[in-house]
Amino acid sequence: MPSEVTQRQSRLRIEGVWKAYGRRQVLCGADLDVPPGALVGVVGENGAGKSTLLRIAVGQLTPDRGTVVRAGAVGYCPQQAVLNESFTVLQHLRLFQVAYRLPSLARAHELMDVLGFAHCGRRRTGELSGGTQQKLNLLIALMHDPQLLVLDEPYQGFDWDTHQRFWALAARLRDAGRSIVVVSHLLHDLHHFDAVRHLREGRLETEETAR
Amino acid sequence: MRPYPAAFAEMLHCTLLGQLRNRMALLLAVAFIPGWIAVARLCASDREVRFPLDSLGTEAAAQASHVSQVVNALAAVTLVTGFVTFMETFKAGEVDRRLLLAGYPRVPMLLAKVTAVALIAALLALYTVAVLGTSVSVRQLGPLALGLCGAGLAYGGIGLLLGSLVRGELEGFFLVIMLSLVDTGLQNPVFTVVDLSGLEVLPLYGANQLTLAAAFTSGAPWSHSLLSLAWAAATSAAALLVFHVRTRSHCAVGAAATGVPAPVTAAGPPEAAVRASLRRSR
Repeated sequence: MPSEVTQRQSRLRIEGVWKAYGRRQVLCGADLDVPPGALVGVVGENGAGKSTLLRIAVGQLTPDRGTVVRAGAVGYCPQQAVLNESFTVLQHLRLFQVAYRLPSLARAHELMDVLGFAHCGRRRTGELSGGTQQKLNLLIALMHDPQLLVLDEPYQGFDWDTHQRFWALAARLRDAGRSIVVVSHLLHDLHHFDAVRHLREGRLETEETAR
Repeated sequence: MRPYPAAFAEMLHCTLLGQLRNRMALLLAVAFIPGWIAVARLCASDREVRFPLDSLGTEAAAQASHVSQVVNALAAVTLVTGFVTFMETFKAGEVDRRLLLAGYPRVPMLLAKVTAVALIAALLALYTVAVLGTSVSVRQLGPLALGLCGAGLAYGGIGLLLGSLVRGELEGFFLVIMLSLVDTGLQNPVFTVVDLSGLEVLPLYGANQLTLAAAFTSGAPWSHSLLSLAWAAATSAAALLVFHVRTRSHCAVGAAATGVPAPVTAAGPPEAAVRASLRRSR
């Protein structure tokens, strides 16, 4: 049956998810389906619930109601850089190497080169600029080459060159079959997406893209 | 790479290095302990104080300034370990949750933090014994060090628990300071003029009895060091429980998905389909 085929192939399927903070209802039956090899954008106004949706998608937050199905390893990049300012960049990498059970940090070092902060390995993250902290925040989500990437405004603080390199990297990963969900605020980024979903009044609506 | 030993070793290494880089923690450890002992030496009188030691069933006698120095040493050790452990746990909280979500094993993570607390408590105890030894003629150095280490362990455990439990930094600082003040104040033989019951339940009771007995008598109530260990174990277990509740996965593992391509340049963890099926009525 076609629906069963679609369900099996989805990397991320969110169905009828509801979430409220106290009396404030944030998500009211949100649905999202992300197939393999798709770069999906989630847009919406401030406070629309985009970050809540992503935190539910990765299992960090429990929905009040609804179903979330994920397939494969997940890489999650939170909106604010979640780093320990006392630890160096390399210490972060080694800790997440243990968490992801990676045999080596070869891919992490490749990504440091791609994102342009390979020289910062021995520096404490508290000493890094906001943009470089965000690069490490993103790298932690990518270093185990997950099948599903959930990125919450991952390029905050990036300079234009790094911004462009991020989109080139995202396109390469998508072409290699990875599924990527990105929360974005920037209108000029929308053409990068295969599909754009607008979070409005707690539901996700399909938005036309230029692609 | 075996995940549990590697997870323990890496977390212990990072936690200890993080503490060493914490200038506030180092300043507190190096300057506050001798400073607070010096305050007692300068402010307390030389009159003799007699006080009961319930653990030995006897009375001890010593100069008020000496007793005050030992009590202040205990207070300083509790404040420094409680404060430092709380700060570290609180600051690392978000990253620890991210690590857990990424697959870092919980138990080695917490065991590494408890081991770091034990090492810090042991180092602080040795340092404090060395400082006390310059101004107080201590009767038994070994049990004194053990008592001070027990105090550090008990308050290190409390710091660990508060660091996982409270939402704001100020709440944690306030609780550590207030608890230490009440604990050391109620058990200070220089100030206590009436017999108080129920002191046994305080976190510092075992360490206080062992430290005072070691400093001023030839007896050593060794079993009382177990009370500090019990406090450290109970608070660490409670911290693990809080950590578990705050970070428990709301997802149950379901069937594996199909159509997953091979990694491009590096291998990720095994494939798994995760299903969160929560259909609670609102």
